Amino acid sequence: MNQRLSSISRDPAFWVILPLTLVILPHLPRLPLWMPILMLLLFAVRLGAISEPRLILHKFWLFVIAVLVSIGTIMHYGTIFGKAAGTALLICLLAIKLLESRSTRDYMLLIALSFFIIVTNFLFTQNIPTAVYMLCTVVVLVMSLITLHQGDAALDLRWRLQAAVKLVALSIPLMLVMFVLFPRISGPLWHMPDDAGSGRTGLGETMSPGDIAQLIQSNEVAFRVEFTDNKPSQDQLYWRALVLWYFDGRTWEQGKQNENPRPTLEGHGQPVDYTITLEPHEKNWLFALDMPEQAPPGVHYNNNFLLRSREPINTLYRYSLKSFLNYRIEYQLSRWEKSAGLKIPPDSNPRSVQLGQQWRTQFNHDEAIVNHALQQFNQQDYVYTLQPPPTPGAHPVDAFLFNTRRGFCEHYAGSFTLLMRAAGIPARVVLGYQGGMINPVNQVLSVRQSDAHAWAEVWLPERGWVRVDPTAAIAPQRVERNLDSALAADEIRPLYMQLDNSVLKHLRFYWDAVDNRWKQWVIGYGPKLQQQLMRALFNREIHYSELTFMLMAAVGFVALMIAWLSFKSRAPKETDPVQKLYLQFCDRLAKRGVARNISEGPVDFASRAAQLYPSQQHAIDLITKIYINSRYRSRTSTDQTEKMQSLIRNLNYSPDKS
Amino acid sequence: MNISNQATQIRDTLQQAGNSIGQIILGKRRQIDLALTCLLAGGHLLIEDLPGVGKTTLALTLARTFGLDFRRVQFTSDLLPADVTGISIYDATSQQFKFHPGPIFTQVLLADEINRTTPKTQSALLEAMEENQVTQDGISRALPKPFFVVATQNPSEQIGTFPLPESQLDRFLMRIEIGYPDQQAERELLLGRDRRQQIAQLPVIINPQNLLALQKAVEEIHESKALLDYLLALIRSSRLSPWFSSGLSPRAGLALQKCARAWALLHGRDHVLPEDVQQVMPSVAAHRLQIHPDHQQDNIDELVRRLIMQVPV
Repeated sequence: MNQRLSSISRDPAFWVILPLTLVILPHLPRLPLWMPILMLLLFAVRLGAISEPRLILHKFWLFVIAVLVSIGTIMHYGTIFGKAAGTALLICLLAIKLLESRSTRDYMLLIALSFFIIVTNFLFTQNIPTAVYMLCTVVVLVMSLITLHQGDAALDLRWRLQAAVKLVALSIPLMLVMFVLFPRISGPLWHMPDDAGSGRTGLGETMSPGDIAQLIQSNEVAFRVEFTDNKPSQDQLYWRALVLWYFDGRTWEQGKQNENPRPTLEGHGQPVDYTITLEPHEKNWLFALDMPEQAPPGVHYNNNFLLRSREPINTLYRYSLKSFLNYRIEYQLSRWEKSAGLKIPPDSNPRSVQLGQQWRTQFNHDEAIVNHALQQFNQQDYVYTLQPPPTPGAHPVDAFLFNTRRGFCEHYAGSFTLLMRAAGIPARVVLGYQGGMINPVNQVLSVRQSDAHAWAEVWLPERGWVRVDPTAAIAPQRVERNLDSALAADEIRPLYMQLDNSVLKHLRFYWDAVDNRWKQWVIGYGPKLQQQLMRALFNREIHYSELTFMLMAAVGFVALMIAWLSFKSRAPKETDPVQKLYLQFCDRLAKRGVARNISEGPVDFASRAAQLYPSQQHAIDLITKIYINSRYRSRTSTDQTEKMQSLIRNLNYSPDKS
Repeated sequence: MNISNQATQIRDTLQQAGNSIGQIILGKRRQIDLALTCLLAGGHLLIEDLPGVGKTTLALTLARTFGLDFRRVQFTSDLLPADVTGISIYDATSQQFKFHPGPIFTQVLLADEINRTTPKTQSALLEAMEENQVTQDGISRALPKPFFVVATQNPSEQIGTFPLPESQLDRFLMRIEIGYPDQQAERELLLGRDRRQQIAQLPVIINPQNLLALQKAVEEIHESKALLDYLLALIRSSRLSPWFSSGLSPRAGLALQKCARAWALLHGRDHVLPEDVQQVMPSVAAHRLQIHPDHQQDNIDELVRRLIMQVPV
C-alpha cells in the first residue's frame, strides 16, 4: 500500500490533480450543481487514465464538452463575463484542460493557471480562513512545481514540503512590501466586479410589520465602533440611518424627499468622538449616533440629519464622527415637513386614527399626548415579542393596537407615529440600530444585524424634532441592555443567542477582535490608510508616482538579491590565489578548445592539454605542478604563485601544426 | 621514514614488483596495481570473475613477490568453520587437547570460491579477517602479520552459490574483476611456459618486513583540505543520488581514503590527488552500494563512474 502510495505520489498527473482539487474546492458552493459533478467526473477519468490508457478522451470530445460547458454557463448566468460566470467558466475549462494534459509543459501551464484561480477566491470572500487556506494551497502548488521539475528523481515527500514552505516563506516579505507600497488609488479601477442581486442582509429602505423581526435572525456585524473616550450609556446608542415619512397603511417608506436646507443643530455638552468601520452593505447610507455634528469629508449630510455617501458602500468603509447626545433642533417646521409629517393614508386604520384624534381633544398640549401614548403602551397588556401574530387585512395598525397587542419594535414605532399624526403632532419613523456589544478584548463596540431597531421622532414646539422610542416604554431592557434580556423567558430565540454560553462568547470576542484588525489593516488598507502610513513613515505626503518608484525599487532590489544569491551559489567565491590562477588557466584553455570537465583532476587535464599543445607541455606541467603543490601538498610560496602567473600569461595558445 | 624523499624510490620498487607480477598475469596491469594498492592499504581483496581467468594465479604471484606464506582453501558446500580456523584434538600422549591451526594461519590466504560454502563458514573467515585473530576454546590466537586474504567469488548468477550479504562484502576493502585478456596477451599466454613453474622462479622483490613498513608509510600520505572536500563531496553525492538505495557509509569513506593514499604511494607521491580517488573509487565503492529498484537495469560500476563524473573536483 505504502509502495503504491509513493509511486502515485511521484506521478506528475497526481501532482496536478491534487492542487487543482484544492484550488477548485472553495469555489464549489458558488457553482451550479452540475459543474462540481462534471468536474468530479473529469477528474476521475483523468485519474483513471494514469493506469488505464483507454480512458484518454479524444480531442474532439474535449471540444464538445467545452462547448457544452460554455452553453451551460450562459444558460445559468446569462453571460460568460463578470465575477461569478467568468470564474465558473474558467474553472470548468481548467478541468477540461487537465484531460488533454500529458506533457510536463501542460502540467506547468495548469499550475500557473491554478495560481490565478486561487486569487479569484478573493473576489468573493476576503476573510482570514480564506487567506490561510489560500496560503496552504499555494504551498501545495509550489510542491507540485518542485515535483514536476524533479521528475523521476523526485525527493522524499517531506523534503518537498519543506522546500515548498521555505520558498513560500521567502516570498512573504516581498508580498508584504508589494501590499504596502502598491499605489492605492481611489476610484472604480479597484472596485470588485459587481454582480447584480448579490443579496446581503441589512436594513431595507422600507419598513412593514415583520421586517426587522426577520433581520434580527442574523448575527452578522453591521459595523464596528471605536470610541475615543468613554462609551456613552447603552440606552443612548441610537444609530440612525433612514427617516421614513410616507405611510400607506401598512408600509413605511422614505418617499420623495424635501429640498429644504438642513436645520441648525444646537448641541449641548461635550460631543462624543468615535470612528465607525462599516461593513459593505451595497447601500449608500452611513450610520451615525444621534446626532452627528457634521459629516465626514465627501459625505452628504441631509436635512433629516442622515449621512449619505455618493457611491454604494461595497468595500469596508471607515469614517470618524462627532455626535451630540444632547441636542436641540431649533427651527420653524417647514410647510413640506408639516404636511408630510401629518399625512395619514385615507381609509386605513380608522380606529387608530380616531384614538389619536380623541387624544387631541383630551389633552391640551403635545407633550402630554406623547406621554399619554407611551403610558398606554407601558400600562396596558402590550407584549414585546420576536414572533408577533400576523396582522393581515387593510388595517394592520388597528389589528395590532386593539386585538393582538403583541409586536416588535417596528409595530410600536409605526403605530406610535400614526397615532401622533392623528393627534396632529408631526411625526416620522427612524430606522437604524440600537445598542451594540462591547468586545472586552479590544474595547470595540460591534453593532450587529440583531441590533436593528425602529423608533419615532415627533416635532414639538420649542423643542423641534425629538426622539421617542415606544419600544423603551414596553421593554426598557431592550434599550438599556439588549434584545435577549427584553424577550420573555419562553420566547424562541435565534440560534446564535441560544449558543451564547460563556466559553463560546469569550472565544467569539477574541475572534472578533482578530477579525476586526484584519478588516481594518488588511482589507481596509486603501488610499486613506496608505497615505496615513506613508505620512507616519516619511513625515510628508507621498505621491503615487513616488510610491510606484519605491515599489519598483523594492522589487528590483529583491530581484537583484535573488540574482546575486543564485550567482553566488553557482560560482563560489575563490579566495585561494593559486586556485584562482588555475581556474583562469583552465578558462583560457577552454576558450581554445580544451575544456576541463568538472570531474577532471589536474594531472588528467594537463596530459589532455599537452596532447593538443605539445610545444607547451613543459609550461603546462609546471603550472600543474605548482598548482598541485599548493592545493594537494599544502605547499605555497609567493614566488611560486608569481611564477605560475607569468607562466599562464606567457602560454602560447596557438595550436601546434603537426 | 620520510616519505617525501623516498617516494620515488618506493615507487620504483613497487613498480618492479608490479612488473614482476605482470610477467605472469599478462595484460592486466591495472588489476595488478589495484591488488597492490589493496595489499598496501592493509585490506582484503575480493576478486569476482569467471573461473579460469587467473584469480588464483594473481594471489599466488602476489604472495611470491612479497615472500609471504601462502595457503589456499577451496571453499566447498561441506566445508566447516573448523576446517578453516583449526581444531583442538585430544592428544593421548600429553593427555591434553592440542590446537591444530587451520589453513588460516598464514600470511596470504586464498579463499577460493568463497560463495560456494555455507554462510556459517563464510562468517568464520570474515570474522577472523576483521579481528585478525582466531578464538577457539576461549583462547585467542593472533594471525600472522601481514595477513592478506584474497577471496575469489564466482558471479552469483551461477548455480550452487551463497552470495555474500552486503554487510560481509563490506569486510573486503576492494572488489575487482579480472576479465578476459586481450588478443596479444592471450597469444603470449599460449606461447609461454607453465605458469606454476614460472611463479616458483620469480624473485622476492619486497620482503614481509618491508611490506609492513610500506603499510605504515601509507598512513603518512598527505591529504590537503581541498582533497578532503572532494572526498566528502563524493560521499555526500552518493547519499543524495537517486541511483542508490543508500549511500556510502562512513566506513566506506575511510576505505576510500586509505585506498587513495595507497594508490598515491604506489605512484610515488606523498600526497593524494583527485585522480587517485577516482582511480580506486569503483573498486572500493561498487560492492558497498545497492542499486535503487528504479535503476535495476544499470550496471553498478557504470553508475559509480557516472557519479564521479558529476562531482566537481
